[in-house]
Amino acid sequence: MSLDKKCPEFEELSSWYDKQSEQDYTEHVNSCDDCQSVIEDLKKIDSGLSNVLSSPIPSEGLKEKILSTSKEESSKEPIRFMSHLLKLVAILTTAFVLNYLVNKQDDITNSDNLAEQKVSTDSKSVPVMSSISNSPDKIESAPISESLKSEMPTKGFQLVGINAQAETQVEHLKDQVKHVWVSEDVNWAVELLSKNLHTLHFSDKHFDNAGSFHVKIQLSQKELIEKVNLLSSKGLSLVSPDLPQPDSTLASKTPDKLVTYEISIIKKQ
Amino acid sequence: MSSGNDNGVSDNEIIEDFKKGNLEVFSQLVERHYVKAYQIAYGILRSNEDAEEVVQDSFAKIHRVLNDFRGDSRFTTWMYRIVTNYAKNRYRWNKRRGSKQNFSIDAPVPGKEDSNLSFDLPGKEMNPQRGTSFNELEKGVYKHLDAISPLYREVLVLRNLEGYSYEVIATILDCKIGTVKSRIARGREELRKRLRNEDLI
Repeated sequence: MSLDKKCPEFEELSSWYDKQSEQDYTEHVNSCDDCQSVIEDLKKIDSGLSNVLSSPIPSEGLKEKILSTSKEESSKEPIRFMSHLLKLVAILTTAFVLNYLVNKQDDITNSDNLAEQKVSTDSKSVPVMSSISNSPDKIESAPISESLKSEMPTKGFQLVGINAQAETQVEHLKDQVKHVWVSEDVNWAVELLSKNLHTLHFSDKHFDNAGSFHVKIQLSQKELIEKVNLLSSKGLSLVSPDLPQPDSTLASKTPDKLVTYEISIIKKQ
Repeated sequence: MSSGNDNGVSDNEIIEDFKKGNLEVFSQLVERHYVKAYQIAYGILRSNEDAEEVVQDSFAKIHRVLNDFRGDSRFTTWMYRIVTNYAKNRYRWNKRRGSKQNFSIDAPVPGKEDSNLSFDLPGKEMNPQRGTSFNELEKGVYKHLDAISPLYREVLVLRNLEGYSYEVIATILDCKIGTVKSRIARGREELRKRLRNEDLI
């Protein structure tokens, strides 16, 4: 055993054995029985690992399965394209009709009690949730972080977050909830939303310059619970399970109390 | 098998051909690399079924995004990154689903089912590709590989199957070189302790 120098740590010997170390322990190892023993063990483990790891062979049909799966994937592409095209046509038609109907309704509503709620239409370079300009319980807009955006889904739309400031206002959230969805196809997401929520409940709806859609939906507590359940049953998660839910207890106590949902559907960049 | 340059045609040349619309050449990439991809997935997951599904998913993904492959790295580096990611996702999925382990100790080693050699764990052992059985040390390595962390297994798999440098392994696994160095050493140290306890080394 060599005692002239302290033996290197196992990790160091391991990387030296792999020729991946900047240090050269050759001299030490040659004169140290302990380290030689470690290196001998590493050689045996290495040899054993190489033989063991290269021994499994896949079943005979795997290659065919791989090719078949890949072909299936590629054959779906034209179908997907046609599907998107048809969807686009349907969306444009629906959007036109909805636009007409909702504008008409807005004219009526604005003359009643919602006229004072003007929507901020500031152009924003980053997608943000719209704010309620004249609400006494104003919730400030919050940008979506870059890291969150990178995790956003590529298809469909999905609830991705809630205003960070709003999260601290749990009590407030019982009455007013803000949600953000993200979609490659905002129009399609708007259409889905419109189909499942009566557009007469929409107010302050607008597309901003970034192509994001913002809308407020005003419903009674009872209606909100019903609509959320309806959307959930159709596979659209209007409310994330991890976030404050419409309060069923509250709804049973004050079923007719008006609740405002503020929703932003943001185009996936 | 996975030289990346069979018949004098490189992976990159095949990919260029694919990008030009000749989708049929994809089968050449599969032919070259699917066994190694399977062995990597199997090495991490220790389950034939999971490994085969991971390889299918990986190649389906590769087929979808091959046009985006820029060739900044070797095709195999890129491909193994996809395979290891799918394998890790599958491992997590199995764990969340409540699988106690990703591997049954009673399961035969894939490709060795018809062997008539018996072996205590995990069952029948024989390497038909070599026509030889595992020696005692290899049996021990095989058994104890299941006991070590999958984080250690994945680096050992890439190191021992492909002989990749720590730098390339770090690229594939998207981690630091120091992490690779540490995990390889810990995996080996763990195996060493276990094999020593059984007087196999």
